Amino acid sequence: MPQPLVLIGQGLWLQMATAIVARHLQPFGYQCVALELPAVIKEPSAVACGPELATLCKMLDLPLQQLLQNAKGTFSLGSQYQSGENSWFVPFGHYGLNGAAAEFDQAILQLLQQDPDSKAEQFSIAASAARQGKFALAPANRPDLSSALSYGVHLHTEEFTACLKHFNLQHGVTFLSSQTLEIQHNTEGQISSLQLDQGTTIPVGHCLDCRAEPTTGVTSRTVQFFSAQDTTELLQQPYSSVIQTSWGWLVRLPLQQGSHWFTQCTDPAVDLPQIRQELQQLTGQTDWQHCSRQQPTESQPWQHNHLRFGQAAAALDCPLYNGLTALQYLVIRWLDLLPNQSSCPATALMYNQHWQQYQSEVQDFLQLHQQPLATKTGQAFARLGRAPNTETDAIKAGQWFGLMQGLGLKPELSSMLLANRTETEIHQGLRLVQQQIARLIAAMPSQADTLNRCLQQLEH
Amino acid sequence: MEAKQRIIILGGGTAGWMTAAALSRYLPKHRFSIQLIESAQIGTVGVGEATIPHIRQFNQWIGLDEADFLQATGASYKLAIRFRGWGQANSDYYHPFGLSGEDLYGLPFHQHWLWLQQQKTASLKNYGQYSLAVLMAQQGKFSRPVADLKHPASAFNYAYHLDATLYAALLRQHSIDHGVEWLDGKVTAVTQNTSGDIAHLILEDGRQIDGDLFIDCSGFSALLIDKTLQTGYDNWQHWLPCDKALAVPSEKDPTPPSYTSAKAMTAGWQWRIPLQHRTGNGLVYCSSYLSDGAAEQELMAGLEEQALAPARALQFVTGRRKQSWVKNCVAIGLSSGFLEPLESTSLYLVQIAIESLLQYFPSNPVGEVERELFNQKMELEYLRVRDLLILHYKLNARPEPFWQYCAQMAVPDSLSQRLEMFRETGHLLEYRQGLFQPASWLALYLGQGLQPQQLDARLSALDTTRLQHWFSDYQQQLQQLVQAMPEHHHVLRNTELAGAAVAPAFSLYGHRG
Ligand SMILES: Cc1cc2nc3c(=O)[nH]c(=O)nc-3n(C[C@H](O)[C@H](O)[C@H](O)COP(=O)(O)OP(=O)(O)OC[C@H]3O[C@@H](n4cnc5c(N)ncnc54)[C@H](O)[C@@H]3O)c2cc1C
Repeated sequence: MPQPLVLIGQGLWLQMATAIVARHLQPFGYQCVALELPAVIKEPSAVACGPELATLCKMLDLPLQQLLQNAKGTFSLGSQYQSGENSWFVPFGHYGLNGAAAEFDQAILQLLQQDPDSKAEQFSIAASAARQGKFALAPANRPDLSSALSYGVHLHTEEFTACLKHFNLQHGVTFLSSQTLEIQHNTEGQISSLQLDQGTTIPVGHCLDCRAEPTTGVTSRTVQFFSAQDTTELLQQPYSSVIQTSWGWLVRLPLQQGSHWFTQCTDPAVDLPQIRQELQQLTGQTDWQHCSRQQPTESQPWQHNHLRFGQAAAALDCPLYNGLTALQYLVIRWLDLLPNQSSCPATALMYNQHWQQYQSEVQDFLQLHQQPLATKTGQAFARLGRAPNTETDAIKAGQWFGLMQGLGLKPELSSMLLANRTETEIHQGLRLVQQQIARLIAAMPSQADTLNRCLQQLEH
Repeated sequence: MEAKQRIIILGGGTAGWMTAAALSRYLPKHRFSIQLIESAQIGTVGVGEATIPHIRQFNQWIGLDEADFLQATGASYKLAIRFRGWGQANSDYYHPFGLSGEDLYGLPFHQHWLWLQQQKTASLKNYGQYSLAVLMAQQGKFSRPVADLKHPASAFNYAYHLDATLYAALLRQHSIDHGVEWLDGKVTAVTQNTSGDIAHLILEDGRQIDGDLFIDCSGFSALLIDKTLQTGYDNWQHWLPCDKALAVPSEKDPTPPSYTSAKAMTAGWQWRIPLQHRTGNGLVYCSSYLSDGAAEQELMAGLEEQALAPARALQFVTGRRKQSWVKNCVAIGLSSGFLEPLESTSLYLVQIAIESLLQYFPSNPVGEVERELFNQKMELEYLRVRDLLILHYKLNARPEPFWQYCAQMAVPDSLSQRLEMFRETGHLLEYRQGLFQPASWLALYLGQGLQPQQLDARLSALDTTRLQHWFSDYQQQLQQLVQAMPEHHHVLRNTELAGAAVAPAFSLYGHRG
């Protein structure tokens, strides 16, 4: 019998990690124990999950419709950005209809250069559909469309968590809870057991630690976090909204009823009353919740048999990037390597290096939001119109392209791989794609209709 | 009307002509002029005949028809490299352009294979026997991969063995047809302007060739990137100690195998590359451990056919130019570095350099951003190929002094970590950028006898009998597929099949890779 896997933490992250582990390992006779600890940080009331969630739901055999129903979810094709007068869409899916079409993004950039009235989103089926409040899953007979239309969801955190907990209980996970936790180490630095309230001790093979707060010895920074809820119904918006503010970005996630606002500021010299005032001006909301919290900057999640996934994910977590996505990635990649021994330093080292790659790609994406031209990625785009070659899918190709062109980066050089094509040829090719997109969207239902159909399917 | 940007390619070896063919295909003639200078007096390196599947993509890119190419270059198909004597003197394994087995129960195939091996399963076959490409190579069969991902034949790919001189000639004609100006002349001096950029080349006969962008394809002499711009070289001989080669053509094999042969020898290794009209052979060796005379004897004794000419000697230093792109000069081919041909990667590196140059094509003058992106990309590609090559040498238990040195040498951290990880858990972490994926690393690890200390924790929960049945059934299915395939040498003669259009798969391992 393998040594028990113990997951510790609280809330959504604990339940998600447990669900993935339990579903993966149950067929192999693993016993999973989830230890619920008191919450230190209040979780945001809503979450934006990326396209990974749909894949994950398939893997878990957990109908996405169920999550949509229980957690009052809506679909998301990406994010609608607003910066002063400028607005643009950052889709999850790729531009054009054929993901493998060489230099399609470059063709768009050339058109934008020549025709200032054109917009990149005309060539993204996701952006065009989102603009019209439409949403459909790619039909089974059009697998080619599924990545152009890849979608995430917005969910109510508490109900989403409850759904996952229910799932975990059904899958035989043993839940324990404790107000206190003492981690016992052996002489080699491995966790040997966990000591809970009233002296209960549980043995540990591997400890998957989903706690987000920094522990002693972990570097961290202070973050001011603001949130608010809004009752306006936004079913015509199958996307998140992202609005530029004087300190950063404000994000709005629509749910089936109402929507949720989030923003954070990391500037230590921040003027909190001024933020409140600006938030009120921007949103009309007066009831803003504020908390100050410590965000870890951990980058070595695998240490001995202690997997500090919560801290690693929390290092990236912010309104513009949901740490849950990172947590899912950490858990799945670790399960891919499931070791038979509690100490495998070389495997841990390689895993941590891979994680640092993921982390740096996300951080690069987030930094683009602050000062695009201060990043190498922004400079490369401004020179050549090319997004970085990435090692992970932390940020999708459509997101890199959508964000950088939306931020106004215009390449100085045009693609030599298209240089033999005439302007007319390129424009005609693009127009053709645009027409195909328009035809597809004309036949697409609204998000409200798709949502209703999904929920009805569940009832039958 | 803006003046044309003048591109000068120095060198007419495979690298020079591949570059000329690709640039002339993409750069519009009204904006660019392309001149290629080579010296018949100096000649080319004349080797470089084993390739990997990416060459098909290159040919398609520049518009070469496969049937024309096969005919013009005397090419044969290639499915794998056969390694004999690597690891142990009696070892014999293939590194195929293909995957082995299928993932089962969410776990990679090799974990199951290792598990059954641990359980001493009598019916378990050698790892390579679960690879379609290996079976085809062993049985002298050839067929093209299929695109249907459910079919086992979607999990392999193919490349070619080609005659380097004929390939360069084909590319030359192609380039000239696309407007490249070809000059025969020896460059004797190079002039730089005040910024350090190269301004012009002076030929022996006094001609002056002006340019804006210079592509250094001058081979080992690295006339522009090093002799002129003094870029410096990262020497990797302490990891890849072979420094000489002898090359000799021999008679053709009437039934040429569809694999390159790489046989470990006393202080290096011998290659055999079967073409339609002759066989290419060579010995790569380390001169500190083997004299030139002994090397020649070893090579000649190892030939399977009659030699057609005396052996030709070559010398090299394994390593890479510190930067491939400096000022207005981009080094492509041997001028940018040399990794021995054990995995047939040089033309691939040429191809990647050309592709990256087109992606990051500079303005005039060149900008820092494109230079940096290009250099980063090439560095990563070189390092990842380098590590796999070092692995061939490192993992061995042979008794000869050369091999003992290799077994004991320290290896780069990037490799030792990868190696240690496999030793610990039998798992691999793939990377996205760079050539070799887990299938290649596994072929070497298992082929050269590396055994993990532990395997995946899930395996012990599986039903071994069911696994054994699955393995037997799968292997039989592959055998049946291979039996139904035509012979490789028949396919080579059958131009109808040879000409059938097949889209290239952009991976070493075919559509599934
Ligand atoms: C032993 C050996 C085996 C190999 N096997 C393989 C293999 O199996 N597969 C593989 O992919 N690669 C292999 N390679 C590498 C491969 O041969 C080269 O990458 C490929 O041939 C490209 O060479 P090149 O064009 O850079 O250089 P060269 O072929 O050397 O061409 C250099 C050119 O520059 C010209 N030149 C040089 N100086 C001057 C001057 N002053 N004036 C004018 N012209 C000048 C020369 O005339 C020539 O045209 C092998 C290499 C070696 C050494």
